[in-house]
Amino acid sequence: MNSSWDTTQHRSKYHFNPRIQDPLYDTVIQLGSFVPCWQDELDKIISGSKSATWRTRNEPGKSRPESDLAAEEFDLEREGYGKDYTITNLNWKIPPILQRVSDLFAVADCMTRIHVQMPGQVWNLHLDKLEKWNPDNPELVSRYQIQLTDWEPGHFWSYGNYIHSGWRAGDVTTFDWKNVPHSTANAGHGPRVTLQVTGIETEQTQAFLFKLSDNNPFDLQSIV
Amino acid sequence: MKKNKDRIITSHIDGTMTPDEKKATLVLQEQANNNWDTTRRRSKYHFDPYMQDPLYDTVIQLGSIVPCWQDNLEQIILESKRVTWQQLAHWRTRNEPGKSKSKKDLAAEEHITGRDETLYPTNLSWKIPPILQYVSDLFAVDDCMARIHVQMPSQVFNMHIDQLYSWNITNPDSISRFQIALTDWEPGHFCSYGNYLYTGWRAGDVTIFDWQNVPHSTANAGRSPRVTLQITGIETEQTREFLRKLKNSKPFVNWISKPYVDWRSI
Repeated sequence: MNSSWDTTQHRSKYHFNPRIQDPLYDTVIQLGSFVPCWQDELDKIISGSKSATWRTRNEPGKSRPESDLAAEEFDLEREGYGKDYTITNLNWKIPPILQRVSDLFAVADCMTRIHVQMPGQVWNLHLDKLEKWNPDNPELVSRYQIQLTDWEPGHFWSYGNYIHSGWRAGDVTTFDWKNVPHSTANAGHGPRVTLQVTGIETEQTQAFLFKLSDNNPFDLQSIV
Repeated sequence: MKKNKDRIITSHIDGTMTPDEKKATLVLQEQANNNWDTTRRRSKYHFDPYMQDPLYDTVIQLGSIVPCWQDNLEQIILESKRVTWQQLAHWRTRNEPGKSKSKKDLAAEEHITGRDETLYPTNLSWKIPPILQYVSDLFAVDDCMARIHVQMPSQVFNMHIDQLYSWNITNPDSISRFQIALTDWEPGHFCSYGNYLYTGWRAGDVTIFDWQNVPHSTANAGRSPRVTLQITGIETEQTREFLRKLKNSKPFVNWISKPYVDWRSI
């Protein structure tokens, strides 16, 4: 049986040494922040979110090949999680204000989803496999995270050996998805809510990221 | 411990309660209320997620012991039991067999915000192998409770503040909880003390924290279990003596020779 971890670890350039802090990999890349303007939507986003496993995490109707899912479930069984382990809640209904945020990134073949990691949920250590967005040039594929809630103690997020904490709602980050193993857990008392935008970078993406870093925090009202 | 509680009850009846005992009674009464709210109110912690107070947002490193329990780890992990299946039972069954908390305490803990039925804090093992019993004995705490936490991948011990008052209700400052890491840190092993995120520990590292004040939590999103020996009890003069030795000999090895040979030869 194939292991998703073994395959992705093999192709990663990460050092996989828990004693090293390599600034190239053991980090998350801060891109800027938005002025949060989605507070009114949060309750609905949280209550409308549904629990997801590795098998059910993908966009409805766009599941991965069975061989991919089997390899992921092999790891889950091997490491003791069990294949039906709930990793997070997801909400695929994107309210208009967050659709506007997503659209600003202007990525091609965009996938937008909202992660609502409830207290008690763990998304185990893994490497992303986003090359399917653009197999010929995976370097163009990017994943952005926009925090919709402030960090709370007990919200855990690792990128390699770096533990990311203390974020504010509106903070935008990205990371080296091809190489950096990452994981999350919620041992806090409230959900962690994150908008995730994945797709192929375009020129408009680059232009927007420049604006985002130049206008920090970026106010959506400024482009009405 | 029991003596203290009996004394409090008696003094309450005969009206001879000292100020300390009155305070202790209040603590016991508070425990009947919601655990998180109660402990939070009593704690001196700032509860500001954007502050780093070196007094509270930290774990206290006491030294380290040369790991010599590797041969026992597999058995410890195998024998450890998930403390519960459902959330309620997690907190109900985490205590030493035969020494459960009061029903009121347990009911209060079960009301912590955000808990749900899928929360699995940890596995526990109450079977302490001789080499770890020896380690535990070195700390020389009174009314010692030693247990091994085996936090399996997927398990989450949600944010809480300890309630160890029952060890010495009239003088909680004398109560200590020590952690001895039995395995190295791995990515995905999460541990927070207030806003401080503790990582990178080595097997043998000994830590303590301000249990009365500091909210803490752990989770395992990694690929293998996190194993920790936890020792709780009332500090004695021998405890302080040992801690001095531990601090001054890094890592602490002096004790190994005799007992180590002894138990292995059995």
